[in-house]
Amino acid sequence: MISLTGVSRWYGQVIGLNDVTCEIQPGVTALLGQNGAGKTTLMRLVTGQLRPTTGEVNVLGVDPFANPEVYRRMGYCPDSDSFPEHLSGREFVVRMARLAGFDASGARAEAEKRLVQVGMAERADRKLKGYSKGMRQRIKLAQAMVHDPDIILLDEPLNGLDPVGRRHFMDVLRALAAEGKTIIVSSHVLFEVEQMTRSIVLLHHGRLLASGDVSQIRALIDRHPHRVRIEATRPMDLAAWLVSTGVVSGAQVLGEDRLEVQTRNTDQFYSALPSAESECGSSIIGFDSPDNSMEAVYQYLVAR
Amino acid sequence: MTGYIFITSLREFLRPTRVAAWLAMVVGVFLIGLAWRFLATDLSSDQSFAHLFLGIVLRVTALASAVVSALVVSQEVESKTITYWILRPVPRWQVMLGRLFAAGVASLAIVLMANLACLVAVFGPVDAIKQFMVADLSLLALAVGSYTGLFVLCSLFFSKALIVSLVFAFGWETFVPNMAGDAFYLSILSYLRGATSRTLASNDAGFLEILTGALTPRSVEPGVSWLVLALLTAVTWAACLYFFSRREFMPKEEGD
Repeated sequence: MISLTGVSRWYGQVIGLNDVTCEIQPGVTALLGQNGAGKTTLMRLVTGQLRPTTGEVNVLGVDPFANPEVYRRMGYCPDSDSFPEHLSGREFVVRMARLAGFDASGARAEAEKRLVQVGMAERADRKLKGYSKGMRQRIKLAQAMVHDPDIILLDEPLNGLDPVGRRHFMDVLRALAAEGKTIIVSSHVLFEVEQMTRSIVLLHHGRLLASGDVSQIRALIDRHPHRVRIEATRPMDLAAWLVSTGVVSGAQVLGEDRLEVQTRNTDQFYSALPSAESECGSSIIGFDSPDNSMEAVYQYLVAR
Repeated sequence: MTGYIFITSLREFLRPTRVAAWLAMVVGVFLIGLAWRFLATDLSSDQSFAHLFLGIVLRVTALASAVVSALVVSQEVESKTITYWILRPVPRWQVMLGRLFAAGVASLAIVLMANLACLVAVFGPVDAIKQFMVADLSLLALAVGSYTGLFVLCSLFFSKALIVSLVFAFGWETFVPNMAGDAFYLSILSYLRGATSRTLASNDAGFLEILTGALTPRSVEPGVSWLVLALLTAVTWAACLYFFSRREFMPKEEGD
């Protein structure tokens, strides 16, 4: 649906994005990176606000730059908190619907539908200049969705939303993703992103560090042992057996019923685990991997 | 779609607060006109109005065009709302055309009010309408077209376009028409002066003569003036449509 091939973008002497190649498919994809990582540059390239200095950006099979056909199927929620402040929220969303090709009554109906969806229908007649940050974010989302696009790009959409608003926002995004839409959400707050999706594009200093599912990316990080915490009876025996099989490179007993192991081959490790009880008499109660979290992947890749 | 963009933009350019500011300026123009009528007692009413038309109304044309033109693109870029115009399924040239027409109509409305204020000041409220000339309207429309096209084009290339436009309107357009040699050909005001049938009573180096660019004895032929103004309007508007469709618009202060 969206592809970047060897895309670089320079701002004079400064590079914003450096030789990025990736593909983004339907569903929610998080665009992750610290400030200055190149998230907004990538967003602007995909939305056709910028042209790549080198490489090729394709959206729905065509170059998105100033392309009305792409914009017919794309909605964008910018990072900047700027609006025509003299308009009311409803007037603004109706205007965006009109610019998307709806007639006056169609635009009002679509705007109303989206305002209800983002929880702003009852407050939409106030002037935008009187809105809180959270209300402005909702209006931005409403205008991005008003023409029912297949692709929605949201640049730092959760900034300024209270916890209830965040949850509501995420519910809306999940519903859109369930409809088969392609949603790209940029953020530097991992915790937020982790609740929305497992699919990430990770940028750092303009370079693509990783893209794909978090667990798949984690599995590809073979230089760093994968940690697994296991809750089990007789953890000492389990640790000894796992080390003897060679599927773990290290083990540490953390308490009476817990241990943490490190493995470089997760497939073999998880295959061996069910036979632990018969082999060493240890019953496994549960396990989890702190390294499968987005935070761990992010920290590892960025620190690499 | 261009029609919708035109109406939306016109409403925006003529918001009540903006109209109030322009009305205050029109009142100022009226007071200047009254003062001129009583100071220039040796001039006929027609000659008095000619001085005001060339010295004040045409300057208001440049001022209104500069300020309104800045709203077309510059202000949208500075306030970072340009995104909402360029990421909609409308060809960019249509967005620009709608906004250019809106800027032209808004500027012309302001200029016509200023023109009417001068007419009323010189001829009185009853005779003002009789003295209104269709040729003046055509000339003012073309003046607005030329200045608007030039200033909007400028805003596509300079980040502080309003300052550049005002320097052009009040610096370039004041000095270049009065310069010796052929430099006056480089000023829009010279062609406006050449195209109008309103002529000054003398070439005295008074304040209004300097404003009208009348210090140089040479002027452009009326036919050439009309042609140049029409061409300038057509070329700058076409260039605006072309470059708006091709250029990147990005709020510079934002990081990612």
